Amino acid sequence: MILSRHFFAIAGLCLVLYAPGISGPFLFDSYVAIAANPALDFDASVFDQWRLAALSSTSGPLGRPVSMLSFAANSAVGGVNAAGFKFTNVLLHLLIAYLVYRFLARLLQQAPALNLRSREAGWIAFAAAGLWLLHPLQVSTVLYSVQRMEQLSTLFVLLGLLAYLHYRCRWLTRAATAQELSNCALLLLLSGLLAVYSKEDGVLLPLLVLITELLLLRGHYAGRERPWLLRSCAILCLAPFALVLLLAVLEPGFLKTMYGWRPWSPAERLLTQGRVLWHYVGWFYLPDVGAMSLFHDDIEVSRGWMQPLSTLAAALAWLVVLIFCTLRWRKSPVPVFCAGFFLTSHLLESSLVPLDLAYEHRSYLGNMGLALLPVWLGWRLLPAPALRVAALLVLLVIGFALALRSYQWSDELRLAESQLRHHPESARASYYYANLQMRLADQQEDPALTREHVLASRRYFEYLLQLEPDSFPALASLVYIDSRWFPELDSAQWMQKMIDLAALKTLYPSDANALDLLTRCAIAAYCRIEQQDYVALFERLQQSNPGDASLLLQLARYHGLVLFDYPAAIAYTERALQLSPNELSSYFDLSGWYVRAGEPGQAMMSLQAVLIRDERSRELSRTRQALQ
Amino acid sequence: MMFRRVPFGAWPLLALWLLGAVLCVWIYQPGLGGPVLLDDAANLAVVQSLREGDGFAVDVIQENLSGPLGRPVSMASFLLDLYFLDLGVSGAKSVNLLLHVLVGSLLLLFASELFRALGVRQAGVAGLGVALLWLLAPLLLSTVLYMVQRMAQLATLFSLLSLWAYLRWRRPGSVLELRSGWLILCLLGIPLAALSKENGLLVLPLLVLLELAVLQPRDTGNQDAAVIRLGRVHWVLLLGGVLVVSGFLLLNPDWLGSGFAARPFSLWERLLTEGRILWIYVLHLLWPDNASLGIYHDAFPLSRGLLEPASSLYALLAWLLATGLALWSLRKPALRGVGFGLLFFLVGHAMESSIIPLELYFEHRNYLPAAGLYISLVALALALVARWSYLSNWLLALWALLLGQATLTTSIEAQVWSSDRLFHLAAYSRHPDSIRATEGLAMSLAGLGEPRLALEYAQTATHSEGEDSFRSRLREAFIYCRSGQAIAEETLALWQMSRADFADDLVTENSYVLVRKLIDGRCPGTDLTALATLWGRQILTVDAHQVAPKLFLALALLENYLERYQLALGYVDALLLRTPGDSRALMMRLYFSTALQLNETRAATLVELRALETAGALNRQERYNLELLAAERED
Repeated sequence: MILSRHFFAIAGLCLVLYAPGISGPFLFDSYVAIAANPALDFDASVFDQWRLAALSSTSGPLGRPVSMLSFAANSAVGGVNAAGFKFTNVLLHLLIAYLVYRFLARLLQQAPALNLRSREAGWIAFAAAGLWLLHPLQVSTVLYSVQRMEQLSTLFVLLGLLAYLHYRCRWLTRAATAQELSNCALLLLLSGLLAVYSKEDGVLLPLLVLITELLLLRGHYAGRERPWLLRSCAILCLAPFALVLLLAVLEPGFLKTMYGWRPWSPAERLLTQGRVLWHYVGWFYLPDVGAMSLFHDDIEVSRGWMQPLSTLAAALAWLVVLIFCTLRWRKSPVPVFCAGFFLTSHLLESSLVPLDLAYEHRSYLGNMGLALLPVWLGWRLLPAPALRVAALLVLLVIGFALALRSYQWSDELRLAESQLRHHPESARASYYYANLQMRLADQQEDPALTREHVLASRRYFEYLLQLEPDSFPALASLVYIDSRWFPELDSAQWMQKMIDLAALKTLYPSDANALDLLTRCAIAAYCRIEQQDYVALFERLQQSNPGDASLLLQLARYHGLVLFDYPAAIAYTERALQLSPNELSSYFDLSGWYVRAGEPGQAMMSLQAVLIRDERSRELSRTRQALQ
Repeated sequence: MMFRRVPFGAWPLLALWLLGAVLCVWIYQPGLGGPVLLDDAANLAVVQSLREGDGFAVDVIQENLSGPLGRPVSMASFLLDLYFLDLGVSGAKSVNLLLHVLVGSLLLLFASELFRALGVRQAGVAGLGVALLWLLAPLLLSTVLYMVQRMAQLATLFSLLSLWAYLRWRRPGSVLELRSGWLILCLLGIPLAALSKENGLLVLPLLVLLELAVLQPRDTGNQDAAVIRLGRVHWVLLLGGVLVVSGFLLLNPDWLGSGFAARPFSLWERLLTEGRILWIYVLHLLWPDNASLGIYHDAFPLSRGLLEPASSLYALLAWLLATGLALWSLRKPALRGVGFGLLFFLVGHAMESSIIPLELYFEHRNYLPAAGLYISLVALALALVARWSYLSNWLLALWALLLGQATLTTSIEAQVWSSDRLFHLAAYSRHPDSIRATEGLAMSLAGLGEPRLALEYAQTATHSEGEDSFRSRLREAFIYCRSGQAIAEETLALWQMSRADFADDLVTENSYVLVRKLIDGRCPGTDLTALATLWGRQILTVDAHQVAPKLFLALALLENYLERYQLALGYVDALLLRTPGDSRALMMRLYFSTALQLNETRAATLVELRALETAGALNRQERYNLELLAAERED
């Protein structure tokens, strides 16, 4: 109970430190998943709207319905309001920290290899949970609204671990009953499902259970150690690797298919992740707020063991860690557990799966291992007075860093500037800053302020072009800016550059927004894009990206909304559908063109494909509206 | 374990049930604004006629022709909503939804009482498990939101009332008095169920099943003479029922034969097909799938033989096995509920899914039987928990999973049912081979003012039927009317060459509805004289006995509208040839002969009508009209 009171105190401190950041806006992916998601701006009095909101995410193969449902609840209570979402995230952060404390306290107290007293285990767990709670690295999960997905996955993984521990501790001294085994398995299954449906990395729960069993519970069952249990756990821990090998044998091309447009190969990703993992460790132990960022695309890709040299150094360092773990797993169980927990929690996102290379939120759960390690070492190595001083110092440092980062996140422009200042090589940071300036320019009423923002925006789009000379987002934005605000300048030069690049251009998903901006620009009266330039650009892009249906859809929009040529718009949309017949939103486009063309019957029938293909009925409400 | 551990009293149960009921109403709510479908139109037409002063409500209640017993209880409830309270279609659907919750509440009472009789300690919790699964089952949505299926709802309501009251009467230790209120309630429920819809009669075999399968085994060892006597009564009822049904079928061999003559399948084919359909119902009740739900199952593939398709044989064998297991489980106290539930399901389907030549597949037929399946499921869970208590939480999770899947599926269906266009587009997408779904879609397209596209789908329906016929032309005519256009001359020209089956119910009914629309001016610009002449010529080419009486009625109405009374009188005479003594036809003959000043015909008709009046065979409206027409002459 004493610890509980302390926990409340530290939770209060956490709330105070996070308070400034709560007022910050929606950022980056939060726009797509929340702010611009029509399913979350819903009528909460209709049951099915909740179902649609839960299924409205396109992230991940499972759609993360648990997380989306929590967003829907937020929206129903306080509307699509960033502060409400962030406040809920902070509360969740507190709850998860409490679970971290409960899990570690129980684990350290009961682990047969440790022989700790309850009070000692409690304080160590409390300190680790506190470090985890107040660490500034967690800000980019907690105040990044969409990363509630990560939080919920962590929450349910911890609940699963706690449920396992609850029963497993009973079985240290006596055999399990059938009822207990049944209940434990059910709770693990339910928490695992909830975790996976929050975010796919919840699938790591079984591995984390195995790591806990292997390293700290040590196969102790009914009063003695069971070697078979240890061996089984060790073998099962290898299952994911066996699965990948099996896939590689049965489906040799699967990695190539998965990687698609990514500018790096599986081997390059693996090599880079060795360094990225050390970055996570570094950001945790040296909490430099400047180094932390929403974007880490400035981390250089490892093209070989020596390119850059740090690749080899990072790999060797991980090898040392692995050797240490293998040799010392019996004598130093807690440090080995910390390393094992951290690495296991990264197994999905920081290995072969072709996601972006680095995001801080990926370490949200794994940071628990990183937090426990120094606390444990401090407790083992330092005398009590020094330990107290060290704890106070750490609290001061991370508290200050958290306050600083929270303040940084309280304003979008401040955050964008800070990221740009500390990550000048990050194309995303540059784009984010320039794009934000463009948005701010749109919002200003004072012409002088507008010009100031536009100039800043233009400058950084040009800077982005220096970083990435074939950047379509930069070029399209420059076309837009020059057309709209600087008619005296030659915006056609940017358009011409795009046309020149188009023949050899491989389109990335981020380019879709750029082309969309170009089309919107063409539709709006203030843009000066010649018809032949627009068509030439898209025709060339089609030649270099023949399978890209989005180009045809843009052409359809252009023909429909600029040239009012609805038959052409229909023809382009139908061609796009031949390329991507499962792209349901295109059928709505097609239906809309038919309506404009005065053929309501065909408009209705073009929505039939949606009903046939929409297996989870996610587009039912939209279909209903379109039919009305 | 869940049933043993949870300390459920009546109040928490009631609270959970209310929560379930609120959830059900919440989910169904969008569907209340949905479309008028198929048979709904007939009820609305009746109400419209009443509003226009044509007829009396009491006649409508007494003279409904939907089934052999007339379904007066259901008709009275429709008139109450639509005519007296003027709730409109949405209001009537809301009443259906309230009835659904009410039936669910009765099921909760019945299932709880049943599990108590089966010796289950937490009978209320088990009953709640059954009632919630039933309440949120998506297979039952097409009963609730299809207005006319209130008939099935009311039959189920009174059946469950009767069954529950019987169980209350038969509580252990009760004195089996014949004047007990519970027994009176039970007996009262039987006719009310049957007069709501004929399958309400199934409450009789269900009561026998309840007594013989559950209550008599429970009271084994009870020396109470009344209990023993009651058991014998039920055995007699069982044998008597079997004898009456068999005797009727043996003495009236044509009864089935004539019914099947009008169907595209034989008795044997129907039985084989129903075996497969029943398993599909079971599947949908356990793990529903939106992709095959709906009201249009007319394209369901027939079983032509045991191996055509082979699933006919498997389904039949599986039902034989299931029935055998159900009968066997009745002998095991722990499994008795499983067997009872399964037999309840089968008995509940005995009327509509067996030998009677009705259409093959309708979801609303599961409204009562579904309760049996869920009773069986929960009883099986209880038996498993009694044997392996550690499974309890897994079974609870499985129950929650089933309920969750049902809830989401029902929610999707309620959305589909919320809009006319979405409903028809979804129905066609799910059942592209269904003629009715295709027709519905064509009508929906016609409603958009797209007769050309609608006619293409009408052609598809014609293609599915296998021949271009009178029915195809009717379909086209409806499309023009729905588009607010005149029936095209091309259609009229084709009509002359279209083969017609004037005995076909659908042709007759649709012709009649079309005439009503033409008279109401819903197909402006149509050459009615040409159409009436064309139909008349076609009918003249066939024997009058091969023409359904209602077709003569339709033509008489059309000719009356065209003021060609001589021709109208001819059709009425033909009608009377087919249905001698038909009061409505006589009234029309009286009217036309008056208009044509055919005094002899008029006098003879008056005599016939007076005779009917004296015999009490005229309804209130006819008596009123008779006085008016008789007085007109005297004036």
